[in-house]
Amino acid sequence: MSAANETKLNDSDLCHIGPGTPAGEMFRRYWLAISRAEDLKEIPQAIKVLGEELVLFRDGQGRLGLVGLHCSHRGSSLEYGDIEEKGIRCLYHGWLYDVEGNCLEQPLEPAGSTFCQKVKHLSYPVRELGGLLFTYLGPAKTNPPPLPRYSALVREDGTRLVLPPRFWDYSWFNFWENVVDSLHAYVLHRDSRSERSWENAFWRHRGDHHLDALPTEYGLKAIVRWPGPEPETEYVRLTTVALPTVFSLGGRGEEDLGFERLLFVTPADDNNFMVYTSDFIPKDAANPVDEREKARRASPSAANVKEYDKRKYVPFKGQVWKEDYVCQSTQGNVGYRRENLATSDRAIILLRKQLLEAMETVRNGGTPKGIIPEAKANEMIFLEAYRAVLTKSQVAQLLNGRS
Amino acid sequence: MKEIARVRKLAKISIADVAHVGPGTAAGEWFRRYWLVVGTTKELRDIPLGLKVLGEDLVLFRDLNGQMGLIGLHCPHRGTSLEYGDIEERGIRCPYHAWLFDVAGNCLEQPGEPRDSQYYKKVKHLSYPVRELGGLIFAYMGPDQKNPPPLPRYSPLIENGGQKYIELTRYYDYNWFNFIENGVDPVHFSVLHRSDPSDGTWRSWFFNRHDIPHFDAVETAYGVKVISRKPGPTAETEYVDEKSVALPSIIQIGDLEFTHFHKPRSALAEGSHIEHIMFVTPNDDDHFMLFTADSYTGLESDFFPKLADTRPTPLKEEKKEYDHRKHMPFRGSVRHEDIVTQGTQGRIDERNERLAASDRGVILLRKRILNAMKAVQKGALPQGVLTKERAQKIVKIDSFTGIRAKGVF
Repeated sequence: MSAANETKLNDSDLCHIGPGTPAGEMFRRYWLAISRAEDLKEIPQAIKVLGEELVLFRDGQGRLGLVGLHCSHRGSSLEYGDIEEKGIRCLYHGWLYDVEGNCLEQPLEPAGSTFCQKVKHLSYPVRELGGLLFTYLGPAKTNPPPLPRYSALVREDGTRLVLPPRFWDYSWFNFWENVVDSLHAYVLHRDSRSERSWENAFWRHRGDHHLDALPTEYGLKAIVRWPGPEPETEYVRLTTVALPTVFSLGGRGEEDLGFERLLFVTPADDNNFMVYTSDFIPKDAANPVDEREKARRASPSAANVKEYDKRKYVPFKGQVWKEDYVCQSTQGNVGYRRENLATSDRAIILLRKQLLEAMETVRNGGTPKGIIPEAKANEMIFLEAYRAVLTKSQVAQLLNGRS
Repeated sequence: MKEIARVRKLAKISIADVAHVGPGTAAGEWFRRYWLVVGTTKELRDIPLGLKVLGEDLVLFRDLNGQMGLIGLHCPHRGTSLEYGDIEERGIRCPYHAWLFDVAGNCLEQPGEPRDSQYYKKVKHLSYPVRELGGLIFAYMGPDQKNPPPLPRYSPLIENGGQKYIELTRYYDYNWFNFIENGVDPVHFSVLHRSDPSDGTWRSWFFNRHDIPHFDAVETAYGVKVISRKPGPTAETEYVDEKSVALPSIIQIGDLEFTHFHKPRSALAEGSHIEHIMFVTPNDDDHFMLFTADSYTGLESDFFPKLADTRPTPLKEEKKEYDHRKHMPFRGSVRHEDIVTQGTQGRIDERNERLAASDRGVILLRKRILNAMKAVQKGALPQGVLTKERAQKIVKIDSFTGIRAKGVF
């Protein structure tokens, strides 16, 4: 199939990630997070990734496997299979598969049968890094690209904390573009963070703020800034994205500079996705995790909900994740919804452009942005993110790409 | 879908087209020539109300200045639902990036944009005019919104010295037309809504299943009415039950949903003095809303508060433990009975039918509606839309329950 004959890609292509779709093929070039290591116990775990029904398990020897959910024989779900030393056994007729999808046994076939050697079950490689499990659903299964060594996953100079995964029921892209929509925090999450001087400073300088989006080696940086506490200074919030779906959020301010929070987004299908979060707290930095998690878990107050307020998601104000859910899940899908993008959407526009370029690159047989070259396979990748007060000359350097 | 709609508009239409109400469909365009009820004054409080009308996702709200707005549900910026927005003095503000819209759909603020940005002036959000009358909120979604047709002054909604009552909005999950057709099908009362013939009520006598009253279907200026009659107490009088369907989707009956239904027929000697008007507004092809207003001009004081206890009609049958049918039990409650029959018919464009002589009211109504849809196709005003000259006239829809002189049409 020649690329020249294919239609030009547009935003709506971001919504479809099944096999054979442009975004689906793009995602199949990267390692994707699919579970916390600690959540994979001794029972099989069914999981949908990029529209494919799979089962994740660890065999009796500790090897990780991600194989097709439905048994190759007559389709029963291996989620209910038995885990054994050598693999996973279907509960229906006892067919046994190893982590590579080889069929090792078919107990009901005649003693001399070699049919099991002809059955090859779907399987994908799985690797563990920094408490997360990653898979690669791409074409070169035996020779996948390097698994990126993001600093928060490999650093040893502090504490690593992988948070429980979150599962959401709308298009992954609505969540994803929100991460570079830095300004929404000052509107949507204003109530839930009203105690924070950082956000309030924004409202004092509303209209004098700037939002910049700069391409990086693996993705982009979004930078919001507004006049600082002293002349010749600026408040700066910087976050970084690595393609396809890694986001570095950083700490809350000067007090926890050095804190890293990475989000990994993995589409389950067109209307569902998973978010994995890994924090790294350097030895001498303040630990913001407890307070953050407290804010995240605190239920929004129902005390002020009027008895005639029957809106589906009320109450939602005061809980960051629910505020995000209300906004993102009601948008409708990108490319299908009506939009009027503004200058504050600059980072979103760049993100969409980069993803569409990556899809186009994959369609033409190339290597998309965000894939780590073999030569850098062992390098640690640091995705910059912070909130800080910088001098204007530091800001100028930052915007010139010389930070 | 768009393609189908375009073809339909060019092709010859039939009554089956009434089932589809989205933009660009024959019935959708027809509906968009009328003021439609979209809410009640008492239910529109200080929170936004998300609702679908004729297939369009909208949000109804009242700003803190008291102005009502009906605008697109999804923010024109990046689509978030304004149902979760904040109501302010000047309009409604999106929760995501705080764009502010007034009731006319003008974008007033975009806090995330630079101080000197003029972009907000270029964003015009979908909006429709809304007006209040007699406790109901009407919207006009048709062409020429700066100059819409007059909002008809339906008599039950106009101050007349009587007592008024507005019911809470009811929501149904089948096609709007099944409900409307039922309004000109008087014989179903004698079957579906029958009661024990020995209970001595107006209902069991007048709508007796074994002595079904004869009815006439009559064309009127506003639509169709059906008049059922039985000989009266004197040679010059008759017992009458008269009800109407007015275009596009209004039913009016002369009894407060069976208040007198339950009374002996002697109670009807003076007539019921009630106008019970029901406005049907399609949400989409498979859902509609029902708004009900009552006007009572009789002598009884506190008429509606006194009725409160007697209005719920209890279900009269027990559900057998092996009966897993979805709508069971339903007998005894007129509203349940109607939902079971209308909700299972299927849409008019999908069901098979055999119309009979007793469907003459239905047949006449279909003809009037089809003519009205054709009028809109040709660019003319359909029946029921008022010209400016008639703006101040009170629109009277015929309904009557009781005894009156023989032979009135």
